[in-house]
Amino acid sequence: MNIIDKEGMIADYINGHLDEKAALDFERTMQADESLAASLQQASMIKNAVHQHEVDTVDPSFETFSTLLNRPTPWYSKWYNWVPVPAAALAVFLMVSPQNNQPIGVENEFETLTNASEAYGQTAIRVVANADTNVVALVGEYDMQVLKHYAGTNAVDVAVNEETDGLMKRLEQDSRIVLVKTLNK
Amino acid sequence: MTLKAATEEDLAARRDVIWLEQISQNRDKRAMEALYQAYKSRLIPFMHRMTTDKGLIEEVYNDVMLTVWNKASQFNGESKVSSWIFSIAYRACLKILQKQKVRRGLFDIFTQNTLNELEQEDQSESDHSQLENAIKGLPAKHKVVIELSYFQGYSIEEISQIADCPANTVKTRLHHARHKIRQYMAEKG
Repeated sequence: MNIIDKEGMIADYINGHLDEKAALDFERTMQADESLAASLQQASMIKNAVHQHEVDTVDPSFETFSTLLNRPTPWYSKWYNWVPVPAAALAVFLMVSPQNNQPIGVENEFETLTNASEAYGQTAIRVVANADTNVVALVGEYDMQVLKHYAGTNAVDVAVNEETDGLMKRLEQDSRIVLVKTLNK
Repeated sequence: MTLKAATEEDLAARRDVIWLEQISQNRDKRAMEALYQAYKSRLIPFMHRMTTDKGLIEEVYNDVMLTVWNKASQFNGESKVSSWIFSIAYRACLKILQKQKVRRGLFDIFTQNTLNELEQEDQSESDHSQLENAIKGLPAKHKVVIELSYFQGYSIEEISQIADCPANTVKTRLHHARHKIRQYMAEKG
């Protein structure tokens, strides 16, 4: 029996929680173990002493308390026990969901006509035609190669093979074209 | 424990179960009153020694009893009713101690001399009751095992249920607590 188990036995012995056999075993062990006997004596002394120091303290009244019993239970109180469930579900979701700060959506969802970061590797311009004009057919008239047609719009990026300034002038004079912009040079 | 004491304890335990059943099934206020009165003599000194804040005892006692009233149907019968009630009271005391700790921390920030004054006060009190002061000076986790074992007479197994920790931890805490009390009393005496 180690020192910690002895402590447990002492407490249970002086409080009468050992059965007859265990109590006899304990008493037998104590006869052969002076330190155990000393510990028991000290524990008994504390136990006897503490009962002589019963505290004189408050005396709550049931009458006052009974007013609390009449209070209706708040409607939400029965849901208190379930609060941890959605909280845990949210925590798990946050832990397992991919930590991706990119917007969720289709490719190029946030591509705009003013985004000039494209690198086509050659001189390119962006042409925006008015609503009544087929922009692809229009750039065909100018013998330009379409690099990108922005779906659902009247805007295209086209490759420029001739001298840019002259072409830009001609396009700007075309009344069917709303905007012409050089993307790179 | 004598046979008479054991029988009385059994009767008290059975009486507690009946009261709790009446409370949970019939919301019986007379049973609640009986339980309220019966536990005063055990719980109030326990709370007083645990928290040392007399002003809060009545409020905490009523909180504990209100928990018993509201959660009587949740008592699962795996322990004694008294162990269950003491575990509620123990948790209530821990909450109070936590608040006292925060309050004392704030107080100390503003008044540097407070601790010295309290120590002097304790010193003068120690003449009246060394043992009580020795117990007061113990940390809450040691104080509760002394309280439940020496004052309330619970077994190691029951204390482990009340304090919600393994039986070996109870034994270890009991050992350290008793060692500290012995040390304190040797120094003072």
